[in-house]
Amino acid sequence: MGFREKRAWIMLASTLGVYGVYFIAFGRAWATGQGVGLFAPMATAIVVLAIIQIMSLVGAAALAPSEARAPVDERDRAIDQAAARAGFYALQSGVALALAAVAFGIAPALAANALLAVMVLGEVTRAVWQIAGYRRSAA
Amino acid sequence: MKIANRIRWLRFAHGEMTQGELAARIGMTRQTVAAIEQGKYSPTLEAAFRIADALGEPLDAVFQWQGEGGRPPL
Repeated sequence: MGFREKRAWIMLASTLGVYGVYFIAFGRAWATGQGVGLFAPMATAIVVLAIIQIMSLVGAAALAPSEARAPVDERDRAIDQAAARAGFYALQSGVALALAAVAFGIAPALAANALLAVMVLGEVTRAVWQIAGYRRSAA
Repeated sequence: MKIANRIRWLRFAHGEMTQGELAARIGMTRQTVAAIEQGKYSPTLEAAFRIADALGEPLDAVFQWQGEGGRPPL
């Protein structure tokens, strides 16, 4: 498995893990009617995700430095382009749904989290598309 | 896959060149060379020329079209 495929797996696993915990915690707090802070939990999730991703990528690069230094080639670019396109369509669809929800007057905390969920959806779609692209052409 | 290739055979004919060595010569990753070699990825024309150049062979000695009326791999 090449470094860029490992990177896609790291992005997928860390995004699902961190935002999975975040959205479960948010959903529970919302369902029980507890006060839900908006800025602090979101900022914490973003910072934790960034730390996990940076540490994982540095670790993966340290385990296979030659793979990490390998140039991005035409296959990587083709896979990235297809994944970015899929991620964009997911993002676009999600934003349309979130805007519709805002138009129906959902609470600001829910609207903000819906938009965050849409961004997560875009990133997850992109990572899944990258992994599928690498797996399809894996030797 | 309608494009067959003789990269594996030609690598060994050129001093048992590894996939990594070929990849380094043409500016690709080893995984992409492996994918091309196994017919799971079709390279661009430029990459095909680079591979042929690195193996010291003309393009049609490395890649063969296998579409209708195409010849079987050598």
